[in-house]
Amino acid sequence: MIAAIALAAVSLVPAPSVVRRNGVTVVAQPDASAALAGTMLFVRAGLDRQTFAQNGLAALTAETVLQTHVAGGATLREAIVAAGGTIGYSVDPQSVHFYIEGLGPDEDGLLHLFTTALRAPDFSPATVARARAAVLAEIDGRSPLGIGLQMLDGAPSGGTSVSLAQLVPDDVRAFYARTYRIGGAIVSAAGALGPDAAYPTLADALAPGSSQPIVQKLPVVTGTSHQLIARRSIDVPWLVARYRAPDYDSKDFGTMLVLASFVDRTLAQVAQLPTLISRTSADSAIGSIYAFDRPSADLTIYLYGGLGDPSQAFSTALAVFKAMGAAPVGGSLDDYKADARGRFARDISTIQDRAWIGAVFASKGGSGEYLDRTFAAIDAVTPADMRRVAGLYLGDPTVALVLPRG
Amino acid sequence: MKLRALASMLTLVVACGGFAAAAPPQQNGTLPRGGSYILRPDPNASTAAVALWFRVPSDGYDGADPGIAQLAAASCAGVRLSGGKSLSDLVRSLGGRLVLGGEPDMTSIDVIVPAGSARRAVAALTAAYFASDVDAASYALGLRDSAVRGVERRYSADFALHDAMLAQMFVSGPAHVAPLPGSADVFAAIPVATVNAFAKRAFVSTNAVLSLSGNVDASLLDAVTDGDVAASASTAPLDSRLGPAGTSATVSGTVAGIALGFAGPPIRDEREATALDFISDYLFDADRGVVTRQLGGTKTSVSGHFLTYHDPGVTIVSLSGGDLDASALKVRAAIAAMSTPLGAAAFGAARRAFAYESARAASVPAGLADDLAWYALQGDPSYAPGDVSGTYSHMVDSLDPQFVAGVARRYLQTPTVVHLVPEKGSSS
Repeated sequence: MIAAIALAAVSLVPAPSVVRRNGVTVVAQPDASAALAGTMLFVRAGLDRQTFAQNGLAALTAETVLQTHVAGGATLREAIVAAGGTIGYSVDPQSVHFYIEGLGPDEDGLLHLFTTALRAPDFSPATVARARAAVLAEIDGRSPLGIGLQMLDGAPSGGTSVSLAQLVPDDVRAFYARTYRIGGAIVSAAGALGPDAAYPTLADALAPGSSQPIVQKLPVVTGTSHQLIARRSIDVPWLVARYRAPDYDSKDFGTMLVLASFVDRTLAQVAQLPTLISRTSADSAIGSIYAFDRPSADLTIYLYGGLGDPSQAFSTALAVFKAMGAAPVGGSLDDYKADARGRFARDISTIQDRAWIGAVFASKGGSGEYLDRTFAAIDAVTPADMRRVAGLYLGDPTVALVLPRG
Repeated sequence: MKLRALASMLTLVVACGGFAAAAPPQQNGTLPRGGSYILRPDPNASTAAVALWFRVPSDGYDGADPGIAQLAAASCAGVRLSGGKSLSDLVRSLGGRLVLGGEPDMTSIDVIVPAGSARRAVAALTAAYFASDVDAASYALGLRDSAVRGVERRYSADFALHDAMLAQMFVSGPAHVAPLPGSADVFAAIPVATVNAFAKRAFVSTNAVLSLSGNVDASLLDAVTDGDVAASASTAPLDSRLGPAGTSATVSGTVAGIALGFAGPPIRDEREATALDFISDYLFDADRGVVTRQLGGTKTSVSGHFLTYHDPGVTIVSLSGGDLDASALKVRAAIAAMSTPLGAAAFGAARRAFAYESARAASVPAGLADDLAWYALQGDPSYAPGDVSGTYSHMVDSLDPQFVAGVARRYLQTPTVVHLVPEKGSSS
């Protein structure tokens, strides 16, 4: 306990600066030792802005921005690569977030290309067709674990080949006009940020106002013993299970981080992974993903069938987790806490990670400070917390099985 | 290859009213009992990376024990230290990661811990190796670790092809032998006494580079264990003898693949080495590479890298999966085309993309610590892409289409070819 207090008293990393103006939150984490600068823009244009019939529209619209021609016949994506950077996007339940990264001195030029496309996206049939092909290619290239995660989401964030085929340029144009608004946007920049950097005004490229979610909700798959099955051209099965979980703003956030470490350790034991001196690639075949940034946060566990028949190990692990609420947690709580700290720290080690986590922690009006706050939450966890939170959340998961064809 | 230097960025002033942590400069120095350290703090980083690398032959000083360096490294990580925990246990108790690695002439021990935990990691890491004493228990742990990692490597197409290619290109020396054999029997044949003797000779301060990056500071150097004084240390890079170019071989393994290998310049020819890094990036980058995109619709996976060894460097291109023969022809055509200078616009875009990609690899503490250690052990520390001198970045900026084409004509003409064929009963 003394060690925990001492750690909490010293700030481990500088806190981000957070400025709010005109409905936009701007988060900055300048780093004088960084060569790269990265900027993330969150726009309220995620899955909750599309209807069931529009499955894939949020992704298609974001991709259309990247396929817009901005300079000398090059698309935004091509122009940014040619200028020495990268751009990508991710469709979240409430938002779509774009990320642009380059060498520090180049970042403003990259952001200029991005705002050019945001101000005048091209919704021509040819551009939307290219965007559709790009989204389909992303769907086709999805890993078995990615397929399992999307199954548990209720609907694939990129849509399906059938749903994308139904979407026409006017749908994309209308979605963009309705949702790409400045209200609720977050800009989060990290790395080599110059004194006159362009990121603070990035969201000005969006139209004024804000959008509202579609009342029709995405199907949330919960309850007891739900099982979703997909068959793909893979060699061995993947087993994926999802529990409801507290979000980062909950008092149970720290406890769930520690529980996630317990879950990882338990999975390794029941899968009979050898305990080795060093880390090997087999360790990445099992694990958990705690999505604390989602509006409906969740803890997903996965197990790769290439390690042997996974069904017995998986059912054993699920039984252990279900019983945790009633029995003391085995093993050393201090070890689980240390593991939770290490895991959180490693997961935010890139410039992109820093931009993302700063935005997440600033998104509900918070300070944006994440590391000290999270470490303090982990250090405060007690055995009683572990039992209570396990009892609350680790009951009956929804299970997705991605199985080989045949 | 690894990265691009950051020197030009260090003078940037930070922005937007946020708290800007001062960036202490990189420090290079000498460890108490010889060897060197490189300290590259980033107070904004959530992790600290501590990399202890040794210049040692992977198959022993007499070349008789393939895999001994990795076995010894794993065994040392399992030795109980004065506090009662082994390095492996201590790193785990800090929530960290311990990763062992090996090249023919280098052994690496990388520790990544959360911010605030680096001091204990440095103390344990240097104690485990600078004052090593492998006993039966730690030897057993080391055997298990090495055997599992060896089998994993055997089933990795890239590693299997990399090892087979070096064995074909070099006729003697550590590069002729895989640093991590794929059979547990090979490790088990090395007695504990031999492992201990090797560790005491190899893992000494004079052979070492300690590279610290991320959330670290100079006070950590006080935690370094002095350790034993080396009886006879090898401080020169360990080169292997290159065979004739253009040979080919068929090797049995667990996966199917084809590798093409080309001997390149020594590390001291920095501009030529950088040009080969550029060519590898231009052709084989996982997203942008010309060849990668060309093979995108096929069943072939391809990767290509220039490895900046002391003398000579080596370009290895690996193909695995399906359609191998047809894809290999395309790869060879793409490599041959590099002998013709690229147009100015295409070259400029490719060079900008390469500069960014190089910096990206050094933007996380673990990657930067590894790069600094690698180039130091290969004899040219300031050429490390993440080094504060900016040498690598100057080399990137100095490249032009004619020079790159000339390097391709000089070094990428006659490949050594290895066909990896799955043994009966093994799975691809």
